[in-house]
Amino acid sequence: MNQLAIRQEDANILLHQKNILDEQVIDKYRTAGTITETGLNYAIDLINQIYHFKSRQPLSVSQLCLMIDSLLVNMLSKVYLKCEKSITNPTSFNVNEVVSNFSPELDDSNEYFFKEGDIITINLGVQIDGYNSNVSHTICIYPPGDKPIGPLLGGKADSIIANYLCTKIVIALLGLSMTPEKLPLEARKFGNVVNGSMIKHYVNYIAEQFNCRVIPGSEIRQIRRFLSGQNELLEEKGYKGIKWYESDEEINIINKLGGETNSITKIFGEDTVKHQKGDEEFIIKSGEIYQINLKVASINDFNEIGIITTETINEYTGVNNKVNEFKMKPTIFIRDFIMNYKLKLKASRNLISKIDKKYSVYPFKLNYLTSSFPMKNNSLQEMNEIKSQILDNKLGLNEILNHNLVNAKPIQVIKFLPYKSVLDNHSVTSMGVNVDKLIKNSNVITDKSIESTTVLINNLNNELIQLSNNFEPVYCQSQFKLVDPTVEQLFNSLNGKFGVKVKKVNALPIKEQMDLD
Amino acid sequence: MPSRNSINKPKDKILKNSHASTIGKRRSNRVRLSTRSSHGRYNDNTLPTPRDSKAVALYTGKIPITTELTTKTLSNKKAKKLARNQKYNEKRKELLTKDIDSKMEVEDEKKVKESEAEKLRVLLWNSIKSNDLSLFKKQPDTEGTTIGVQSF
Repeated sequence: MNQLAIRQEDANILLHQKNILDEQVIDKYRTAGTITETGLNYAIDLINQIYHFKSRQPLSVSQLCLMIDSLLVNMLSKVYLKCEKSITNPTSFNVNEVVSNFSPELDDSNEYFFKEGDIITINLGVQIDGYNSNVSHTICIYPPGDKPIGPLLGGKADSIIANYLCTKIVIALLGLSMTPEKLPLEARKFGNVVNGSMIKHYVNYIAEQFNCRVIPGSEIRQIRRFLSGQNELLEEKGYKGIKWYESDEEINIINKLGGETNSITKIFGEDTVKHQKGDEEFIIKSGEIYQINLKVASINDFNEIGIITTETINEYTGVNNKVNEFKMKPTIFIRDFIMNYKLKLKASRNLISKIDKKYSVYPFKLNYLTSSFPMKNNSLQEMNEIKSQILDNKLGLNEILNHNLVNAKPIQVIKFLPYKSVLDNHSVTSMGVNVDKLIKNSNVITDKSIESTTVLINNLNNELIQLSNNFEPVYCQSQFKLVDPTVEQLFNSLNGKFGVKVKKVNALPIKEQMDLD
Repeated sequence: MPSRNSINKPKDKILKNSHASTIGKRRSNRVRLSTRSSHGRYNDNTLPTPRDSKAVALYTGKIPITTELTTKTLSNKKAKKLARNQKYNEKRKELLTKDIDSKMEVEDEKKVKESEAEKLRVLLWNSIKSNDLSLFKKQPDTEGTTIGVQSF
């Protein structure tokens, strides 16, 4: 892999000094948090108006994305005038089985709308001077009316409740990392301080109580200035976090059947053991910032043993054999500064210089590069202007993509892979199972929930600051119940006088933001 | 008599003598074995011609009657070397048998490990065949859980 040369002194300033939490840094984080919360609030409000109150003409998903992105950029333009600011996570509406990066452009051949019963994850994020706040929140489209007729039921409700509780317990554990002496006795079997295996155990445990499983790709990670895992293709030096893999679920299955851990390592290779070790060594310290990104799916509808995995969608999926299969070109891109290539086409050279000028290390969409973005009054005329300008940008995109100067962020869907097909196939690799080969045996899962938030462990005031996702979950009811005294104790640590202090960041009123424009 | 190197050497006499001796040698040779050309084509009792086959293993007629297998004798040095090598060979054989024994032990261990993995596979297959989901699925609770509020 290529490497960029950076002087050691500069690296120290960038990686250490600039990441120490002080008043200024906390304020930048809080401002970013406020903007994401307002964006999320705006998105929920728009969906309510269109689908629940029916007080607004339906807007397609691409229009919604554009409106929310415009709001975020408009808000960013009014704060910290001298700092670098941008969207870190283009607004995406991941519907049902889609888990990531579903954010169609205006000129997409299909127009996407939601329908009743859809589970939608709204996903967005911004950064100010490299300090970023990301958020994902899952909502549901109920039948129209003033309020939901009744609670959401079934697997969808199970996954939303499970994810709500999982996120809650992670926040509780992050808070307890400041006062590890308050950890329940039962939790101490994983260690006297909050570590990766403790967090992973409780998250998996809660998910299982609701017949749910954590989707591979879920992650709880430390973020630093400009380093928030925005580019999956780059390996980050000094990465600290826990991740879920397909092999975790395999170990779970084997343990339940009474298999021994030693024999597992013999079958599934040593990598599984390696990242398990990583979990134990992962210890949370105060003064760090964490991004919680938990994805949970219900397996209640499947009457066989299996694991959950993800499949990357592209425009070619199923062209030959499946007619009604969901297929889409990726629309979110990210610049790869390590790659170097002298572009041949004038259009591509123009595009890359625009990208380099406007967007640094964070993902972007082509419509961000048009002159009419951000929109001032969300009019149809502005949208049409953007639509016509996107075409010009698309001209140069292919050459840039082909030479990997820019990479597309993958659109992924959740799949349930029966364990029988895993055993049938002998392509068991070191990282668990070679999923690409087995994906044809899998089924789509639509009952999912994604919640993500950014949390500061503020050592100055001994408190947690939850930057985003301070919204209540949607109204839903599950058949299952979590009965566990230790988990109860951990939840209780979030309440009361002597518990973990959690400060929340609130959204600004949308009207004011819109009126100012 | 003056020598060969003297000025007045008896040249003729010397030459005549040497000539006579070579001729004499040839003559005596001719008497011992006659050539084929002088004795007819099918006479075996002649000197071989250059055209004759020289193959050693080829049966050419008479079987020579000999009692000795070889005329070479074993030297003392060679005898010692052979004895020494024999000793080494024996030692090597011992080592080899030991190696095979230890290999067998390792293979036995491997078999135990493989049987563990095999057990696991059987376990997994059995669970899939019986499709017993009681370990993997929770039963619904009468109370259940409700979150959120009834409003948008």
